[in-house]
Amino acid sequence: MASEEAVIATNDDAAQCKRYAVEKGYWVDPYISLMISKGTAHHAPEINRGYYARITSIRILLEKFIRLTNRKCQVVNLGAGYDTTFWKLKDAHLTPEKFVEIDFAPVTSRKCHHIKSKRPLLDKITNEDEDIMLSQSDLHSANYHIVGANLVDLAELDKKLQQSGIDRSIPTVFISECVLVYIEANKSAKLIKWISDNFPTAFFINYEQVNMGDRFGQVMIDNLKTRDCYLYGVSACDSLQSQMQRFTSNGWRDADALEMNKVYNCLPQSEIKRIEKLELMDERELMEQLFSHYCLVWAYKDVNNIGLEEIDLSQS
Amino acid sequence: MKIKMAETVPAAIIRRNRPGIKAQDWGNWQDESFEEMDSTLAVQQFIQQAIRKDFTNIEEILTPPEGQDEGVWKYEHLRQFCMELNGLAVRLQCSECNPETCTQMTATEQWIFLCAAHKTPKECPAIDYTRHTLDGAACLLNSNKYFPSRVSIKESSVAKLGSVCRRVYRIFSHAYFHHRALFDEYENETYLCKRFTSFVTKYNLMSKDNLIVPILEDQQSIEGESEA
Repeated sequence: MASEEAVIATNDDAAQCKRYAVEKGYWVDPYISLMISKGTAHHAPEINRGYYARITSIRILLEKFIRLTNRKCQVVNLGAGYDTTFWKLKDAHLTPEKFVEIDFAPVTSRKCHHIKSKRPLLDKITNEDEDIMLSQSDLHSANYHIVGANLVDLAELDKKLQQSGIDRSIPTVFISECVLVYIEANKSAKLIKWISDNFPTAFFINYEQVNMGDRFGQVMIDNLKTRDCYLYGVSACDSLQSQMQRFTSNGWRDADALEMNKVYNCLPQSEIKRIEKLELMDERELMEQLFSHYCLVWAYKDVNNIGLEEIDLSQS
Repeated sequence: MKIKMAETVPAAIIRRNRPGIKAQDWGNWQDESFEEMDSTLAVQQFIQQAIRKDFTNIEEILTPPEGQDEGVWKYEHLRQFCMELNGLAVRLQCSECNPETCTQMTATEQWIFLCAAHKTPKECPAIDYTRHTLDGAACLLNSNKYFPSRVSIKESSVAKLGSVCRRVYRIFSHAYFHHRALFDEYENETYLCKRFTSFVTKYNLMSKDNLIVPILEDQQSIEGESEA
């Protein structure tokens, strides 16, 4: 990876955007402000709505997976950054048996520091049965683990997952939010295949760019380039088809993908009404254009047929 | 015919340490077979008897009597380990392990441990961590909630033993990596770390990766990693 720092910086951006939207009232997250300082930038309503749709839709799929497995499952967040999902799940009494976050060591060591020094974060990973074990970049507790590893180094990833006590026989959901796009497509394909080779019951939630072949996509690529940030994996983000195929051709039984415009319409409409009142939007077309360049992809393999194919965005 | 009691009935052995007993006489009574041990504490008595007989014979100490419930067997051994670990803790406390020298609970340099004895885990000095952890283990192993009986133990409570093992093991590893002379001295007198390592390996209570003190001959040397 040419510029690790630039990719790492995308985490700060995303976390700041999330904090901004949380403070505007889009969703509730008592923990994000403990992870990242307040940014100075103002974010347009379509950005906030985009983050809202992103975190809400991922949460719907994740929660369905956790409930389906009756919490006897593992969550692995690839390139987790300052994600606060573990703490929110804990508050909702939906803690899985194991929750592992992986990112570059500079990110994980900062997150370890935040966790160690901020009581609301530390208290939630505490369990009377288990101590907290802490190194420069890694932290292990009873249910929550965070480890520093490069996702293209599968040997290192494997080792760190083992140190976290991952049990491959247990249903496991992998999440990546705008992560794979920074990795060359052949290398992310290897990662996707490694997971399907090693986890018989697995679900994958991938949120990232799509339809990147057009003018809008090119502008995005160029903008990021000026920040020394390269979308090496953009070839897999060509279409919904290519997004699904990276899974189905690498050992996953089936995959589904939706543009974020579609996702947005699938979300609970009462909530959508609520958030659309938070900030008024002049040109809905801007939002639709932005949303058409992001997608939610999910894939599964389900050797024991526990019902992973049922998981989607529909509301019961 | 007159019956002389003394000739036909052997004097009952009273296995009790009386006030004022000399140190060399402590617990110095005749062995009893497991079948004859007629008390709810038979397993503990059996284990302690084997240790007294020969603390270096780990295999024998870890061999349960026939038909012994495995959960109880593991529980009683762990109880015994915690009691004996207090001996190591006392030596650490009386000598060189104090909050000024060992400000954190570490074994190898890589990991520090936050003490789980507090509502919010704390970075306790090693000696405090040691005491808190042994106290916590004693509380758990004596708790009415999880271990109301020493004759049969629920599966869900047996599951708690692994985490107690992982936590108290850190006392060995801290002593080994930071107070080697003291560790060796205690180990020579007790074989405690050897026995503990064999125990957790035999009953799969800890993964091999976590057994960082190279104490058994067949244990892989991890000296290289320990310096990382």
